Amino acid sequence: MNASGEFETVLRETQSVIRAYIAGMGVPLDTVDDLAQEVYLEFYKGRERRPEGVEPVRWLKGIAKNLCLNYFRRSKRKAEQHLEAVAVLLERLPCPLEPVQEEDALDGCLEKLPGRSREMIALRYQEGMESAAIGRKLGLSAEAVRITLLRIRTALRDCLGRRFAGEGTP
Amino acid sequence: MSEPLIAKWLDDRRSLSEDEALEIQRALSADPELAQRVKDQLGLDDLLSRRLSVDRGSFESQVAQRLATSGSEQAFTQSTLDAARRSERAQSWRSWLPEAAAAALLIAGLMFLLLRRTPDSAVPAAAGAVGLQAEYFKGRELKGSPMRRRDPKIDFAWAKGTNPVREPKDIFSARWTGKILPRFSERYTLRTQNDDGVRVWIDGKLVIDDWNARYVVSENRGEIELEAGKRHDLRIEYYNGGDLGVLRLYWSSASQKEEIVPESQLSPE
Repeated sequence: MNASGEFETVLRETQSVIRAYIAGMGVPLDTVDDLAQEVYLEFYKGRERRPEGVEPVRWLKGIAKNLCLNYFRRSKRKAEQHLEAVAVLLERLPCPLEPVQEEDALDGCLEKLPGRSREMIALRYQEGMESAAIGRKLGLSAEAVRITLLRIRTALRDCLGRRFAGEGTP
Repeated sequence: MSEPLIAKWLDDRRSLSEDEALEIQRALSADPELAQRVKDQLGLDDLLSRRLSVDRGSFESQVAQRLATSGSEQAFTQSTLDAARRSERAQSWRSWLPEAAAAALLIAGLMFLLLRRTPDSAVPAAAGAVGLQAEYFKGRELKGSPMRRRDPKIDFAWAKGTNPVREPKDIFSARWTGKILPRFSERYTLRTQNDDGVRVWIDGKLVIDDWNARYVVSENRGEIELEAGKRHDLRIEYYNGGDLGVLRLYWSSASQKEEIVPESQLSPE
């Protein structure tokens, strides 16, 4: 397989894992794609440097880690210095949601949510609305929306956990 | 650490104060279980975004675009875009999205290159008896009162918001009619690059038929015997399902090197 074909395969097979990895370090969601694209640019440009025997995904994660830390360091805000330390801490933790196939499992869990929760998830992730805007639409404060979203995500995580623990369809 | 602070961090990390960020750092460092729960939240946040956001669909084509524009590599751009299309078709979550939006977003990478070298080539109707008569309609159905003009050739890449009928969502259709004048008497191959649907008739025979929504710029081919010097009837119909749109018409034969059918070989009557 030529370099282009190999890159295409790596891109297709690893993009979800790499985006999850970057998101798991606390990079804001609206920046994850941009950073992930940079990771693949660096991977492609430096493809000759990858040592034999090192799996592409491992090499990609190494690039991603450096770019994520650079992202926090580049910021002039002092808060980002603390968030960089948080990123280092989070990077060491397992990311059980990395496997791409869990996207399919997620559908089953989303379907089980109450209508109001599904509406809030759709507004946040499909429509891309901020919490304040969701709150205005639903008659809630921004903080109430944030906490509700947090709890919905916890419920979804539990649902996925049950599903993968073999307890049947959530 | 309070639940509202975690929720705020997950929702809007850029709004955190230094003190709040420091509190988060300390809390997560001191409590591995809390850190893991936060990591799980971040994972869910990303998973939901990947699953539900329309922007995620174009990731592979965006990488291809950035590689091409960075000068790193152009040769595989199309194959990468094709891979993106195959990948996207396999994902059932597209049913959450408007068809047109998903289709348009997926061609974003290739469009950048197309737009740089292919301006909309419309000319006024008084330009002379070359080119084709064009009718542009709002909507996909070739219905209603058309905007008419003459186009010298079929070589278009409409960027978002630049459609000829000023339809807000770039949903439009078009019909070109006229004659095609071959230089050689032999079997020709017509090829289109299209996003979205296209149909091509020559002398009433349907040569290309791809009236479908497209996720990236697609190619279609059809063959037909043409006669040198004869003005064959040509009719082309096209629709764009939203946002970006592309249509090109090429011809080739044993003697004719492939090229976009030039305006000198097209006439409106």
